[in-house]
Amino acid sequence: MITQRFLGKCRKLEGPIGALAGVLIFVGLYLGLVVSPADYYQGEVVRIMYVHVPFAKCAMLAYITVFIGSCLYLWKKDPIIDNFSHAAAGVGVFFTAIALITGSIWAKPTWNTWWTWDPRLVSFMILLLILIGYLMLRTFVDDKRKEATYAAVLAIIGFVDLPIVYFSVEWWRTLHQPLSVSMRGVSIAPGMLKPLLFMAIGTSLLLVYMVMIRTQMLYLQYLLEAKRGGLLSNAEGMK
Amino acid sequence: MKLGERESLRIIYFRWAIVLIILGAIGVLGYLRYEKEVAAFSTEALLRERPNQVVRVRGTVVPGTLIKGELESVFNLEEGQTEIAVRYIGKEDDNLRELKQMVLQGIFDPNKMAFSADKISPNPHYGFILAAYLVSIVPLVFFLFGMERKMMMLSILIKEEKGYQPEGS
Repeated sequence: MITQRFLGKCRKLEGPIGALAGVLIFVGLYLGLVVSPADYYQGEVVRIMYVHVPFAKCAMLAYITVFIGSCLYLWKKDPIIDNFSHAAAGVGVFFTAIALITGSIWAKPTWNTWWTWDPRLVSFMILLLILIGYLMLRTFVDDKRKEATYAAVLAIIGFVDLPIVYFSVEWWRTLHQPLSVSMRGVSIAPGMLKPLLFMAIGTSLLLVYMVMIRTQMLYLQYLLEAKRGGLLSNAEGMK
Repeated sequence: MKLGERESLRIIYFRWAIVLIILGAIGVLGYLRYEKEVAAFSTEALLRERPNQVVRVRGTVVPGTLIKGELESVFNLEEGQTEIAVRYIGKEDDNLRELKQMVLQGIFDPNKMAFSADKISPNPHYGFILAAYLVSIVPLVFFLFGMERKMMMLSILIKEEKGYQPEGS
């Protein structure tokens, strides 16, 4: 019942959400690469912010999705919720890896190093390792129910890292700049805020779109395996 | 593969062709902006070509040569083995420091072998910007395209499985 309702909603909403995400990202890229001004201290290289920051936000949103999905799975035990968490973890690995790589590229001209053992960077790297561990764990267990339960428990334990990632720039002295947009206000020029907002909303919608597509993909994969398994057992029974 | 399925795949390819065209257009606009507002001569190219118009030149501020004033600063700029003398007339800039890579806009005087600048800015590091955008956008496009295509193929396979009956049944 949940499965049919969820998949029905996905099929209905995926088109408009994907299209809106595409438009916002294209506008954000145009504003970020062509229109927005250079930073006084960093110069043109500040344009890396328009991909790095939204991708990092999406990485954290993806992990929140995995966490919520995992809690719901342990409560409801519905396979589609597990597919949803599994999908978000796959997408999360992608966004986390890209955020780390673009951050490293940005660090070289601004900090004069590709990598430093800074709390924000290290906690973000741990987030990537947790997500990779989550996906690897799923390949080691044969029983689908056990696989989903173990993965959900790992995701819930790993969630401890997320507040550390977010607040690391406030809790410790770090090289990484503090939050530009927070409850205290906005400390970024309007000309730079606009493309950043377009990119942030666009990539967040893209994350939703990707999780929807991937959830359906995992469900179809499961369905195909089940069908093939059924056919094989029928054929074996006939021998 | 049935006609409807082939049509669905064609729609996916068509949609992604449009995405690539739009991304290409944004890339071209970004490049044109770079050529118009950021691209600069190296000190070596400046001495070789000796342009007699307003140009941009990039290089590193040579340590020990910088004398800063409120409205005028002098220093030497180098890239590789070539060094030129620079006189910057304009407001004092925090970015103007020894060993800092800068881009200067102004006129080169070949007789004095000196450059008079009226605008300065930090090195744009365009290679890093290009790398960051390529590293994020290219895999994103592949990832999304791969996901959509795989979902379509799975739907087709499931439909085909429905029609399949094991031999001897």
